[in-house]
Amino acid sequence: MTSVRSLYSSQKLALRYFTLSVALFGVMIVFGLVAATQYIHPSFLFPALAFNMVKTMHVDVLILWLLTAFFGSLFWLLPSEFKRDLVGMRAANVVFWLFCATIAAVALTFLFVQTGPGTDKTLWLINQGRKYVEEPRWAAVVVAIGIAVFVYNIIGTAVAAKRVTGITAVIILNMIPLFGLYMIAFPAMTNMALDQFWWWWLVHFWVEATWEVLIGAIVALVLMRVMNASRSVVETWLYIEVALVLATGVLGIGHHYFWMGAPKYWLGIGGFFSALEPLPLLGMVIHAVYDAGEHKMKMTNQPAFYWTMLEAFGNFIGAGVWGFMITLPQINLFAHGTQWTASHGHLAFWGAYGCGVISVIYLAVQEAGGHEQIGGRAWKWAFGLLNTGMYGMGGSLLIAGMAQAFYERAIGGSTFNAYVAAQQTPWFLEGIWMRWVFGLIFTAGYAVLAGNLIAIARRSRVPVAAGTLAVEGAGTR
Amino acid sequence: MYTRDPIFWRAGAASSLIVMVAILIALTINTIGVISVGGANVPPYTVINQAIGYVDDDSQHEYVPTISGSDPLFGHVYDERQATALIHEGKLVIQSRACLECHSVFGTGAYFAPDLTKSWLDPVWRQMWEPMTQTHTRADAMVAFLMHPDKYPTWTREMPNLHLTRDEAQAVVAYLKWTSSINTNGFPFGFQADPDTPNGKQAAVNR
Amino acid sequence: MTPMGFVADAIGLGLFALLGGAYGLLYAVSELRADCRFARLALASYAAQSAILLSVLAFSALGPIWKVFLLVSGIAYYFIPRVTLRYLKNLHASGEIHS
Ligand code: HEM
Ligand code: HEM
Ligand SMILES: [Fe+2]
Repeated sequence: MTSVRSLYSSQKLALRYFTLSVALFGVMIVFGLVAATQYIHPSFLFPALAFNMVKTMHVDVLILWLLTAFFGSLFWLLPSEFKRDLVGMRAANVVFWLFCATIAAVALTFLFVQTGPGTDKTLWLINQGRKYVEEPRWAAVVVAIGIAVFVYNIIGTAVAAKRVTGITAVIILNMIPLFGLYMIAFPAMTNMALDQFWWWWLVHFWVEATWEVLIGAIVALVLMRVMNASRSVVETWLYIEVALVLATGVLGIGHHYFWMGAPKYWLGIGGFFSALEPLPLLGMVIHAVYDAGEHKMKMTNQPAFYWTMLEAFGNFIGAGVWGFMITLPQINLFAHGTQWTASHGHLAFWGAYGCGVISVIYLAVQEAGGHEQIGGRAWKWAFGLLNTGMYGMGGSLLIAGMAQAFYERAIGGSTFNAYVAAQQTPWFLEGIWMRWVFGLIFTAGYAVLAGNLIAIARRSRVPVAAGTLAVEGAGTR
Repeated sequence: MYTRDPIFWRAGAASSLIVMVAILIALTINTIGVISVGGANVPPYTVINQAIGYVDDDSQHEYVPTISGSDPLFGHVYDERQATALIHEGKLVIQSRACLECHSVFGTGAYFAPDLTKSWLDPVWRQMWEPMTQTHTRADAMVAFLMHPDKYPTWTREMPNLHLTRDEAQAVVAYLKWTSSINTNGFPFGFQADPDTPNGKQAAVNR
Repeated sequence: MTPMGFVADAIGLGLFALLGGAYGLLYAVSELRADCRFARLALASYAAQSAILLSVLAFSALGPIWKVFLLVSGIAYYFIPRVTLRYLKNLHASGEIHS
């Protein structure tokens, strides 16, 4: 499996997706740093590039680098599940280049056109102004087509292979809601309460249901690959995970319905179910420790192993602990919509998804290059710097967020003046400064990570086109 | 043992999904009724013709919006069709200018600028922006500010000039007046509103 | 809920979950390495978690239903690592035979 000869065409595409994803990860960090700088020096790049467009780039690209990494992960891992190449690879390649062109066009629009008059046309061509799905509708159409083709690649292959394993069944069934929920990226409902009600289906059911299931399935595939874990065990565990995640996460959506006009019963339902969400994540930590203890002797890919482990811990800390802190309605009333939220958002996305996809990328560069062993020092530096940076940012934002919740929300009554006063308290300012410093550390970690991945790809036994991770000269099937 | 059988857990996953989604759908149907325009928590758009407030309701231990007497916006009384069109335009402006990539409404959005849920009722319009913009009503002060935020900087962070036309600015103001009338279960807590006063009383109470 | 009270509650709940995680982690390590130092640390974490829970129950302005809920989850935290780990061991033992 690790021999270069056996690279499937979907795996070649996977390497392209990983290249794109790592590049987008870098773009996202640049805009995160700019936004963090504007908190300290509001005149930075103002008004040429005001905070709203910077944040738009940061969070829109966040979704994209993770989504493209998910595509890459499945394109990489699935052929061995199906024991054949994926179908529809020609269309999938077209989608890849369509994505690249669309992302570039949207980025240029966001940076240079930015906004437009309050008409439907603006929403189609320039900006939809809805968090995480800011891309103009034409681009959202491209993304929807891309996801649809991807769903076809997977389901079509299952049909062609006449073979559905438990893991692939989970992936296939999960792709349907994942795609369906994206349709919420299109409407522009006049009524903000209804708009937010459905928008949370997209945001919450992506990150706390469908993505959680998807990353669970990906980790299951990785475990079978790097640890030779037995299929029945891995599948049983995946079903348990899915059962618990859905049992708590579906009604857990109520933690977003406390204050947007919805009825009061969501305070109880949302608080209760979302407060249970950490428990399955704790189970995953136990599982990670168990696997580490049982299988570590077979480790040929240290970075993939450690990033997988961290995915379990990071998911528990970022989503479980940080989410739990603010999920009861009595507390959320004050913490809601502050830097505290941002603190949780960063740690949760990083822990649950960032770490997970990085581990698959390490696995892919190893297998693509036919390396017996991946190790060395660089990946450790990347690991250390990225995590110091991220947990440092999370801690800084927690301090800033607590100060904001306390002074603005609890004492000040959330007026304009209360907002401004809270932003100028020493606690808040120190938190915001520290976030910037840790952001630089994170950025340094990213540089090492990208350098390390490129170096491993270059060292592969086959010729590699300069500057890309794609293995061009490998034999095909 | 059955707990070690994948089939058992597969059935468990499927049934927990079905049960939870069934409950979710039932609650969703109910919630949609409550949050649709004219539902229990979300007043019709014509509420912009009325005086809005936000008070601490002792019986519920939370802050609730109040709607009383008439208080026309920009001196107009909007009928239902006009109000709907105005609010619709307001929403389009809010999206097309990416307002919620700095601000938030109902606490959702970004955190670089204040939450706008009750912005209509914020005392700061009267205290700071009416004198600054040389206007005499909150609505006019908001329009003046929204059209040229760069002319009225208030602190280190400035709002960029997003080139709103007067119509667009008025639509946004109407939108914010409407959101301030929505019952949000007491969020934001402790907001000391500068309530609208029904027409006749205005002079006596406020000036 | 007073302003100071809500910050205290949030910190309490954060530590509660964090210590629960630490207990689970240390417990699993102690079992796999058969090392009683880790077992002691695990119990210490759980004791700390319980102490935090008790102080939240005693001082917080959360309503009684939420307190009962927290108490039950505090007890659940004790068993989850044990049950999960025993289950995983059995599962792997049977999995090895079948596959
Ligand atoms: C991998 C899983 C998770 C991810 C990626 C994630 C991410 C996020 C993000 C990005 C937000 C901000 C949303 C916005 O306003 O734009 C958010 C909000 C929130 N999350 Fe999570 N989350 C996860 C799991 C959890 C869990 C398990 C809990 C509860 C235990 C939780 C509780 C909350 C709460 C209460 C909010 C609302 C914060 C507020 O009121 O401002 N999250 N989450
Ligand atoms: C150098 C690194 C980074 C810096 C300096 C940074 C900075 C920022 C800033 C300033 C915001 C805007 C918050 C606001 O609205 O006030 C933000 C939002 C966000 N960032 Fe980052 N970020 C970085 C990396 C990341 C990474 C790696 C992730 C995810 C894996 C991430 C996920 C998010 C999310 C989900 C939001 C939206 C949060 C919300 O609005 O609640 N960021 N970031
Ligand atoms: Fe959520």
